[in-house]
Amino acid sequence: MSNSIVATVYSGVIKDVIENVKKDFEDNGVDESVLRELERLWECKIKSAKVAPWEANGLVEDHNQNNQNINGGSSNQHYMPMQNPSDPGLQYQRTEFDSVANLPSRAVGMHTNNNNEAGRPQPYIIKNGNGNLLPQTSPTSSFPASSDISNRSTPIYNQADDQKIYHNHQNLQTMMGQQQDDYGNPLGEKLIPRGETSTNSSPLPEFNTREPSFVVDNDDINSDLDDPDDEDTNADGEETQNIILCLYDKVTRTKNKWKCQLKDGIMSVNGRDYLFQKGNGDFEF
Amino acid sequence: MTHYYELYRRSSIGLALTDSLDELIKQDRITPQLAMKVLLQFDKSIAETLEHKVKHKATFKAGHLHTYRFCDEVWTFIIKNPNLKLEHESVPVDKIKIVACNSK
Repeated sequence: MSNSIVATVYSGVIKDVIENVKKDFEDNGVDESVLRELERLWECKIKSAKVAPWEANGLVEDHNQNNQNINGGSSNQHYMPMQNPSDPGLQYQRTEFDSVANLPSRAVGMHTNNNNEAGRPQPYIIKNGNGNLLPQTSPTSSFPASSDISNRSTPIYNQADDQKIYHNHQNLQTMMGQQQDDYGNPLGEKLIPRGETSTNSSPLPEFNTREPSFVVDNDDINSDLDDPDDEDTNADGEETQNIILCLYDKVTRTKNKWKCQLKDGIMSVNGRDYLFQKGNGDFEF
Repeated sequence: MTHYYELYRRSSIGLALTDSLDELIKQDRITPQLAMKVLLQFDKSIAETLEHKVKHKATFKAGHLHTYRFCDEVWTFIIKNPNLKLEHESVPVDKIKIVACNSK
């Protein structure tokens, strides 16, 4: 049963990694206590994830024969930081984003919503998105606002540019929403006078008070024409999604029959982990 | 192989390590560069462990392939209702995602 060996394999990996980074920690002038702390945090999190039947006693004895008292005492302490694992993580992502984009504090509140919905992959996209978007977007010219505004107000904004930026990457759409708020809030103040000169001044106050919704009827990203199935697939909670991470030797297809030869895989299925050296898959499309 | 795949960082053990490192970075006890080094070492260790220490085989059969994607030498499949067969047990699943990097 590849689940019974998971605990052993994982302990082996942890030990191996810790041994090998000991030198890196020393080179960086970091105390070994921090290394031990990392090891304890790591083991704590894996055990609490309950992905494999863990023999806690065996594990504790292996690593901390001399420090069992400390372990017993400190194990309670570990639950404290673990109670808020998501908050520091979220704040970490948020502050990183803030420092890059120089956002007003009001926009941070909106970030929370978006971060919660998007889940884990979002940070990577945020980083890349910032890297990609900042050179491209200058606050004045590429202020896409919401599509409502770009359609209704005077053509101050270059719609072609907006659409290009919209179509760059589907995931960046959510990002765009955030950035528009961020750039939009200071800019909105500048543009309200302009908006008043145009015939329709109502869209701008709308934009300032509510979160921009991108449900529009044209072909922009996130329009009603989007296939809802794809969104459901991507919006699945990453924790509960059954996933296999592996290497492939061969993937072949005959008509609609697909055959895969896989190897060296970690499977997370129904909340438990399994490992395999070789795997075979047969599917029909 | 000097460069190992980072895909295993998405596994439970990888995420646990990343979370732990993030906590220590937040507490200013390690630098992000050191955390990167740890993750690189993790990529290496997990790849070698899976290659040499694991002997089990698995089979997934007769599922309906819902989505397939091949980009940058990475295959991503989404399978509906596969039947996962491991060494001694069979696990029914309603949906599973496979992310596979080139082994060569």
